[in-house]
Parts: sequence; structure tokens; C-alpha cells
Amino acid sequence: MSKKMIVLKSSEGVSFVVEEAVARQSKIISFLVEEFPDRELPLTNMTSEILRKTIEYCKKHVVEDDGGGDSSSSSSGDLKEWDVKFVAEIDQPRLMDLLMAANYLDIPSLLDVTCQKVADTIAACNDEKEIRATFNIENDFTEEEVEAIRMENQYPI
Amino acid sequence: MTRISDLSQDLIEEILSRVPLTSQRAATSTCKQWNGFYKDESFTKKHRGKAAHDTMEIMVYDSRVRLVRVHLQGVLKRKQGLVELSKKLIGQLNHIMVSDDDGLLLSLPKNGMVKSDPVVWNPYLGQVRWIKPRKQLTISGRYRYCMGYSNKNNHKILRFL
Repeated sequence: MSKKMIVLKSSEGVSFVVEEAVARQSKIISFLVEEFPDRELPLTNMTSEILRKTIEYCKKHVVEDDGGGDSSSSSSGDLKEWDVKFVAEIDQPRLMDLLMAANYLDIPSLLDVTCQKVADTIAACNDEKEIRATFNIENDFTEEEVEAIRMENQYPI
Repeated sequence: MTRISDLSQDLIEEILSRVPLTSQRAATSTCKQWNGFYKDESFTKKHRGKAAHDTMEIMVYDSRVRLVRVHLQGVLKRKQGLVELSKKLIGQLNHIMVSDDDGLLLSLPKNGMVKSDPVVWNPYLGQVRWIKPRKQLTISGRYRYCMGYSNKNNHKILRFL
């Protein structure tokens, strides 16, 4: 039996032919497929690169999900490892794009791993200066506010 | 190029709620927006426990209170998970109790100390407040203490016999 395929179109107009089961991990796509069957779905705010990454993630997860009888704990452990590697290979601006895509398409597990990766990157910084440098965040505190925060965080005596 | 500051408030909340407790102090000092999140009570309530893979233990050692990260599996990375709440010996601690609601720590010093007011710690942020009681407290073993909220959501310390 051939699997049902659907077509997703990126912002650059590139079409991606995807198995429906893969794409349905997105709750939004799942809804759209039911509303508009046999229609190409335009994802105008997603670049081809990010869409390709998102599909790669969904493919991996759909394969593991219908693994059938041997869904032992080790396979879910392998999947977790795969997730970690998957987000580790993405640079930061693209990670942000992927996070937004996961949010937009409503793929909770992808949103979870991407948010966790950003949180881990924050945790790996030694102090707020390093966080700002890593994420290109402007220090918008006045000197008085910096002092107030320093006082708040002071240890006793 | 998408930057973290381009993300919606909801998404930044999702990220910050996953930052482990030991790094939250640096995160609060990063920018006004992040500082605002951690100060917002609804954020803390909504996301409490997301960083729960960090099992934290309160350790009283050498009359100092420390927050220690515990890895139940694997080897504890030395120092990294250790947050020292008091840098110097602040006195003999009499009672330490942890509020179930928000994990605040109340410690009541023993009598006769230089500073004998109760201390409340927020171990997440490493913040400390000395509490000025309306009347001078006589700390004695006869009393029991507990911490909770009044109906106006203010913290209250209750002392009873």
C-alpha cells in the first residue's frame, strides 16, 4: 500500500514532498490536511533550510514512533541522543528559526528540544556578560539598576 | 538573522523557565526583559518545576547553608553545582525550614547572636532578606515556626507554642 504524500512549500517556493504521517506531527499541518486534502500547503514564513530541518526531525520521530513491538527504553534513549545531536549541529540563528518554526507549526517535542538547547547555552555561560555576548543582547540597565540588582543578589554580611 | 530578542514573550518564557536554577542569577542580570520575567510572580508559578531535572539539596555544613545540585545518575561535577548561600559564617542556625509553596528557606538564628533576626533565603536567586520582627523575637525551643501566605499573598511567618 503506498503511503499518502503531501506537498509543503517553503517561502522560496520550493516544494517538499512528505509522507502525511511525517507531516502530521505538526498539529497545524494535521489540521490543514483535513481541511484542505490534496492541496499544496504554503508555509510562507519558513525558509527551505528550516523546513528541511523540520522535516528531518519529523521523519526521525515518526519512524521511531511506529517502531512497533520493540519500542524498548533503549530506543527512546537513542532518540533522545539523536535529538541532542540534532540541535547541537545547528548554529544559533538557525536554532532560533527552528524554534520559531516548531512553535508556528505546533510540534511540541521539537519546541521542547530547541528551547532546552537555548536554555543549556545560557547555562553554559559564566555570567550575564557572556550571555549578552553569546546572544547579542544589549545591556539596557542603567548604572543605578545594575547596582540595585547587585544589592539584591548580595550575600549576607 | 533571528536573535533571541526577536522571539515572542511566550517563547522567551519557555526558554528561561528551562534555565537551571544555578544559572538564573546571571540570567536575571542580562537585560530588563529577562529581569522582568523572573520578578513576575505568575512566571515563577507557571513554570516552576520545569528545571526540575536539577535536583537541588539544601546542605547545612559548617553552619553555612549551601544549595547543592545532585545528580542521581552519573558523577557529580565538582563545584559546578554548588551554590554557596552564605559566604561567611552567619551564626549558629537554630531552625531551617523550607516553604512548600515556593521553596523559600526560613532560618532562625540562635539566641545571643549579633544579628538575631530571622533570615529568609531565596535559594533560586541567592537572595537574602533579614526580617525585622515587630517585636524583638525571643528565639526559644518552646516555639514552633512556619511560613506561608496571607490571603493577600504576602509571606507570613507564624510562631506558635
